[in-house]
Amino acid sequence: MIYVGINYFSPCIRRLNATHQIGCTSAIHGNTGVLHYIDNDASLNWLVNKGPHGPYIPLMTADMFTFKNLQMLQKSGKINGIMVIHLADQAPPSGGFSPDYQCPNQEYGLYPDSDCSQFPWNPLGSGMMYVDYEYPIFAMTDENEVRHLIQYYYKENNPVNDTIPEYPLCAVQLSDRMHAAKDTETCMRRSSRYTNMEQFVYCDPLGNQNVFGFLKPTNKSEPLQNNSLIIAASKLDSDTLFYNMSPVAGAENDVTGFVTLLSVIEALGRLSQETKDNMSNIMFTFFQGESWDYIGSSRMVYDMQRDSFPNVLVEDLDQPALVSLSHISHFLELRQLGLLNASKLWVHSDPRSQQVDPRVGPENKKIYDALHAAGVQNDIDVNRIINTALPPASLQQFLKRGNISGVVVTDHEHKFANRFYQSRFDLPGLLNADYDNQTEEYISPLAEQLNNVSSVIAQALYTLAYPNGTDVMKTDLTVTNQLLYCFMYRPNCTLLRTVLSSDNARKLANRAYSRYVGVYRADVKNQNSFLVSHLLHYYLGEAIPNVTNKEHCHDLDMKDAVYAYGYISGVDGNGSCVRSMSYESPALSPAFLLEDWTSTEYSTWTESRWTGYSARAFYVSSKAQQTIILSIGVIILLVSLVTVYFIDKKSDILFSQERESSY
Amino acid sequence: MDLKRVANPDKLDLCRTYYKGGFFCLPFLWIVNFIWFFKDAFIKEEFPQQKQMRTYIIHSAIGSVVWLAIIASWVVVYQIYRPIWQPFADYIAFIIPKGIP
Repeated sequence: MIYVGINYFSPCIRRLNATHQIGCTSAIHGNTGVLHYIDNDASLNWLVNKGPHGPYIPLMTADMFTFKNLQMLQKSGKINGIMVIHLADQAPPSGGFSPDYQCPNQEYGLYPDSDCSQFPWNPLGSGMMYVDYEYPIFAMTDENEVRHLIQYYYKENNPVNDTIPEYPLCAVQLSDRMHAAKDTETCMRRSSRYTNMEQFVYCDPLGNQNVFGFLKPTNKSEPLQNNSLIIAASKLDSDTLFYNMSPVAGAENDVTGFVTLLSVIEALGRLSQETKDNMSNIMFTFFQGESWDYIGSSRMVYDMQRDSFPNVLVEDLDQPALVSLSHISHFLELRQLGLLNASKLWVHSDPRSQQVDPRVGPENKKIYDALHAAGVQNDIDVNRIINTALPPASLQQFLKRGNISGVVVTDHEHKFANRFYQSRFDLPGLLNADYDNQTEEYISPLAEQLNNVSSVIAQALYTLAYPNGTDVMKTDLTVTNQLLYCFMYRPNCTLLRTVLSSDNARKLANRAYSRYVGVYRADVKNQNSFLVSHLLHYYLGEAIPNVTNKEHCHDLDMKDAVYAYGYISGVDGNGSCVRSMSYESPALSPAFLLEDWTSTEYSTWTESRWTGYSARAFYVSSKAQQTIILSIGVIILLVSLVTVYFIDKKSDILFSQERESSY
Repeated sequence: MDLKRVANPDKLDLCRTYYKGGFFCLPFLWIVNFIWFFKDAFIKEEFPQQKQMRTYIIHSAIGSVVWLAIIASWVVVYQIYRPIWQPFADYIAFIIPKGIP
C-alpha cells in the first residue's frame, strides 16, 4: 500500500469579511511535505536552519504551536502545511493560548477607535485566527494516528546527531481546498453571477437563529411602555482556529454564560402567575454568532429599529407587541462566569452612555445595587467597575444605537480569567466540571459555583422587575448541574429528553454539539439554538390541558401568532402540549439583507465552501530517484512508439498473410 | 468529401469560399483553409488555378497568425489582470475560478 489514510483531524478553514480572507487552504490537489516532528526548540531550529528536504509539513506539539513559531516556520519558506497534535488527555499549554485578538470584536463594537494595547481584555490573544495562511493547518485528534506518525518520523526522518536523514522519507499530504477567495464581496458576487456556467456557490454568510422569550405574554393591542422591559441576555456561540473541533471547546466562553441564564429562567419561570403579573416584563435573549462581530445582536437591534421585532405587524392578526430600543429599561448580560476568583463577580458598564445621558448612570447603579444585595445573600462578592469600557458584549450593539442602561456581568475584572479564550483548550476540565465517566447525579464544583451566581442574577432580576416583591430567589442546583452536563458533556440527558418531543429526543447525541455558529440557512437552527429554544419554551411555558396529541398542538401553533406551542415528552414521558412566548429570530447580519458586502457597520463574515478534506501519509524517494524513474518511463514510451510505427509500416512483410482488400 | 477527387477549378472555388468566410471573424476557416490546400498550392505540380490559390492560402495564413496573436495576447492580459479588473473580469467570464481572487 502506497498511501496510509489519516482520518481523525480538524482542518482550519477559510472565512472572509469585507476586506480580508482568513484561515487556511491547500492547493487544488493538496499540499505535500516531508514529515518533521517538532516537540522542542531544537527540532524547530533544525528545520528552520538546516532542513534540506523541503518542503516540510511539521507535526507540532500543542506547546510548540504558537504564533511566534508559526511565523518563524513561515518565514523560512520551507513548510507546506502544519499538523498540530491535539489529544484529549493532554494538558493545555501552561502559558495559555488564545488565537483571538487582544480586544475581540473591537472593530464592530462600541469602541472601534480605542487603543487596545492599553486595556487588552485578552492579553494572551495572538490574533492568529485572523491571519491568512496559504497552506493547510490540521489539528490531529486521534492518539493512534499521531503515535504512528511519530513512529514513522523516528524510523525514517529523524536527524540523529545532526546527520541528514536519507531517502526514502515519510511524507504527508494535506488537502482542504477552499473555493472562496479575497473577500466577502468577491465570493458573494461570484455566487450570484448568472453567467457563471457552473451556478456555483463560493461562500455562505455566517449566522443562525437568536432565541428569546418573554416572562409575561405581550400583545400588540397593548403596546409596550417606554422603559418597561428588562432584557437578560447571553450568547450561544464560540469558535476555535479549527473547524468541527473535538472535544467541543467554549466551556467558559459560552456555556457558563448561557447555562447560568437558563438556570435563572427556570427559577423565574417557577414564580406564580400572580407574582409575574406584578413584575415588569423580562425578555430573555440568547444571541447567536456573537463571536463573529456580533451577528445576532446587531441583527436584533436592526430589526428593533425598523419596527419589525419580533415580527412585522400585520393587520387582522393577533401578534406579540413590538419591541424597540426605547422600551428597554435595563439590560443585563451574562458573559464568562466559570472562573470566579475568590467568589468575586464583576459588573461592567459603559462610561460614555452615562456621560451622554444623565438617566443612564443612576439606572446602572440600580442594577448594580440589586446585584450587590443579591450577592450578599448568596456569598458572592459583587464588584463594580466604573470608568472603563465594556468587555466584548452584545450590549455594545444596543448602546451603539441608543443610551440604554445596562451592565455586563463577568468573572473577570480588566482582563479575561479565561486563558484559553476562543481556543480548543477552553474545555470543561479546566473549570472543575469534568463530567467524563460521571453519572448525571454527580454535582460538579462548577455547578455549585454557577448556581450561586445564577441565584444572584435571578434575585437581581426579580428585584429590578418587582421592587416591592418579597420572594427570595434561589435557583435549583440540580437544574444548573443538569444544564452543564447536557451542554458540556452529553446532550442525551434526562433534562433535554424531557423538553423535546419523543422523536427529537431520540436523535440526541451522546457527545456535546459544536457551538460554532455555522452558516445561515433560513429557518434552520443549529443544535445549540434548537436545544436552548426548547428549554426556554419549557421553562417559560404552561401546559395546555386537554391537548393530548401532537397534531392538535401543532394546529394550535399554526393558528396562534402570539404564542408558540410545542409538544414535549415531559417529565413522565407521557407528552404534553406547552405554550409559551418564546421564539427565534434570524441571526443573519444586516449586511446580507442590505447586500452591503463591504459594510463597516455590520458583520460581513462568510465561510468558504470546500469539496472535502483529507490527509494521508506515504513514502517519498529523493528527487534524483524520482527523475530517473520518470525518465526511464518516458524513454520506454518513446521506444515503444517508434517500434510500433515501424512494425505497422512493415506489417506486410512481418505478417505475410494474404489480405483481403475490403476497400 | 474527398479532396483528391475534386477538380482543380472546384478546389479554387472552395479555397476562395473559405478565404472570404474568414473575414467574418472566423479565423478557424483560414486555418483549415491553409491546412487543406497547402499541398495543392505549394507542393503539387503546377496547374492553372495554383497561383490564385497560393495568394488565398498566404493571406489565410497571415490572417490566422494575426488572429492567434490577438487571442493569445488577450488571454495572457486577461489572466494577468483578472484579479485587478474585478468585478468586470468576472462579469465577462463564463467560468469563474475557485479559491483564487
